[in-house]
Amino acid sequence: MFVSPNTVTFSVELPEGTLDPAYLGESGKVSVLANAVSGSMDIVTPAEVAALERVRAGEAVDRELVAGLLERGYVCTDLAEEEARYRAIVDGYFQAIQEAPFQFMFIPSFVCNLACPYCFEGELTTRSPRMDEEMIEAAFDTIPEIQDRHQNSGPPYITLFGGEPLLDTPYQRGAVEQILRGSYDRGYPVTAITNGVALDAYVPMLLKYGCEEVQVSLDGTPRTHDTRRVFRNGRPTFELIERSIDVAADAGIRVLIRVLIDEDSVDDMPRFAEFAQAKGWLDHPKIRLFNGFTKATTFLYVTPDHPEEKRKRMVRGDVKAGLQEAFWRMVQQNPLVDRMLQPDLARIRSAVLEGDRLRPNLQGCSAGTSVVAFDPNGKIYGCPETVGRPQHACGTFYPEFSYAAGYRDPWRHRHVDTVPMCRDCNVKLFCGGGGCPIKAWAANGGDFNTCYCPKVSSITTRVETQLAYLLPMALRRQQEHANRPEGEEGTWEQMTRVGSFPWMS
Amino acid sequence: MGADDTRGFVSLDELIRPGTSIEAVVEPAACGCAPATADEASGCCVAPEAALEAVPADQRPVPVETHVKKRYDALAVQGTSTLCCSPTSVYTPEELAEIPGWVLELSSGCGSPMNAIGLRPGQTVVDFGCGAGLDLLIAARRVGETGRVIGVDASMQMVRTARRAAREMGLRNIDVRVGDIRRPPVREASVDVVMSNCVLGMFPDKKEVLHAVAAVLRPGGVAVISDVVYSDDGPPPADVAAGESAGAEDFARCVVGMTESQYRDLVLGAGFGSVDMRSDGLVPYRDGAQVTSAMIFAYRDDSPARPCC
Repeated sequence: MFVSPNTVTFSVELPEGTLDPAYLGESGKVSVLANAVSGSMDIVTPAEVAALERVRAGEAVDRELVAGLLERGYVCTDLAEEEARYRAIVDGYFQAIQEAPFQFMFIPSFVCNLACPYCFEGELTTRSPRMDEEMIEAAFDTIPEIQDRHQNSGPPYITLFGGEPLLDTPYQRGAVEQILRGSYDRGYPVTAITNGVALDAYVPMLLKYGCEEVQVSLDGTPRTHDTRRVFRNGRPTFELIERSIDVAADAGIRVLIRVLIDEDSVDDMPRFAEFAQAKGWLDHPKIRLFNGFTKATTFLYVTPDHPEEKRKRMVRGDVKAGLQEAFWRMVQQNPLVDRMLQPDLARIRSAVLEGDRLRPNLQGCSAGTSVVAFDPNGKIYGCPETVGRPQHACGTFYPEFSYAAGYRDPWRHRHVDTVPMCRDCNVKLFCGGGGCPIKAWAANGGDFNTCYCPKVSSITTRVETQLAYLLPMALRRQQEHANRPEGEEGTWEQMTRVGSFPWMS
Repeated sequence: MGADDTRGFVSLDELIRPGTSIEAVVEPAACGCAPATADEASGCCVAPEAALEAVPADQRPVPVETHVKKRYDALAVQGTSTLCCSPTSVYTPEELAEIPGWVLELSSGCGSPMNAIGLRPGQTVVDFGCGAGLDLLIAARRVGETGRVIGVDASMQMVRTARRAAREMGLRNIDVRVGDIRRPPVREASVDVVMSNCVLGMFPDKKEVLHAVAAVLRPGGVAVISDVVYSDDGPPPADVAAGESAGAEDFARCVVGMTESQYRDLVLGAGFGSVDMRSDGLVPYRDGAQVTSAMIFAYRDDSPARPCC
């Protein structure tokens, strides 16, 4: 009998009275076992944790205790079989990447009418070349060439990106219409990532060419938003964006609202949730809100040829741990914010609340696997955050096509098993493996199959923090179901309850 | 550090680590054609093996589709196909009038799907594997200003050539796109007629291509495909019959690795309602088998009560 290499023990602090004290360990915390290969996650007793450790040490164990651990995949009888199960997941992921759609991002120009202080494109947005008709056509021509080089068979989809793609100017309308028409004629689905200021003016055009979804950003209530997300002359934008969201959603376009949060705005979220509820956005079938965090992007300015000290220093800093703690504290006290954002930083929410199988996370960033961005200089990029920085370009689409598939392939295929350091890491399937690929590449001398990640302890903490948040919610729901009179529960509810975490021994 | 600060930035070329060179599009030349006679079938092509030798050993095996695409890219740059087939044997001098000479030089399809079907003004037509665009240019005149002609070709160089021809002839109803006809950049159910002139034969998985053809046709639409198939009476060589498909040589010569009746079954299995096949007569091919240049009419629904021709 062996402990599965993919079994992780999380230690979660829960409010007093949440669970039977029999489940609490000496530290007063509850143990949660999880195995992303078997898809299991369970609250276990201290006796079961001890049994697991005895198995790990090769000692004799009570058969009844082990039976449960074996059934849920935390221990196994054959390590080769366990390795085969892990390998099947890795191979399945590789196959899925080959067939997954590429997201081709068109940047007609870098110009943006806003001056957000945290914008990662910075000075690029004040002056920019433009994509002309020939460049846009060349970008479309490049799509099958890139798919061919990566042997990708998925249907491509197009995203309008900037700068601000939906500027209400004659040039931008012409370029955007050419991109939309080109996508429509080719049968490629198209979306737009916009600041939303002039989205309403574009709604008829978006509908004409079958655009079904756009993403806009808000920074919180008007009071907070209009101190940050403003026009270049300082004029506020909230009302314009609010109107655009309503116009687009009422016209049938799905609107994803990214709520951008940082230390200054996190405490504004409860008021913003009330605003969103009063607007009817929380229940609108075409509107979904989700959270994003502002982050440091100094890593964009380093490349593998820079001195090591500089590289290591510049790639440091992402979302600050303090911000995440403040965020969870705020959400815990404000169920309406949870309803609005349904936050899932550790990607375990549906497993805990909906009874889904715990899903392995093999790649922490989808940009490397699926993004190709065309910028108005004729260059091709593999990550939307790097656009406009020529040192990060991986090819050109105009005036001639060239593409460094040999540079891009290791990036595209990077996952927990291609990074040697990750391969032996116990929490790799909760992290995605190796952190940001561009940071790893820059920090480690130009090798994508290296690691730039937060410490393992921070991955564990991330999962434990979210478990501490979700478990009381899940247990409360379970209790509510149990207290309901028989016959009041529908079939779907019964199924959900039967399948849902927390499973408890 | 500002965004426009270039200190420490490296050029794109320097960025690429050893062994990860940037790939350019243009590739070494080879040849391809469709045979009308046994002599042509045996004599006009550059042996594909020779073209394969130009590919570094560590990059083999090259998929057939890639091999074909590279070949046509090279032909477009070369400016002449030097192939066995001439458009003057397919189209009238009136139809070829005003067509740029270099388009005629690059034309390499031996079939004549355009002459097998009566295009009407206002129709939307797509040519799968349009090459330098000869059929596009003629079709554009037939469907008129209210119609639309779309060309799809995997070779970027051929697409550029076809666009240049359309511009020179002032035909504004032509839209040429780079694309793989197994996953054509054409909206589903958006065209009336698909034509394809000696192109499907170059694809090992014809079922995949035929599904794509059916998908872009509107209800009531028709695909007119010319291909070189084996006779039902003279079965394909053993390697083909054994399911190993055709060799690279067969693909280079556009000889489809199946018989007429196998082709018919494949079309019907790909989502078409009915199929008609017409043969131009048999010529001997390798291993004692016989091939014919066939015209396949694949109807999205049932055959029209009154044939179009």
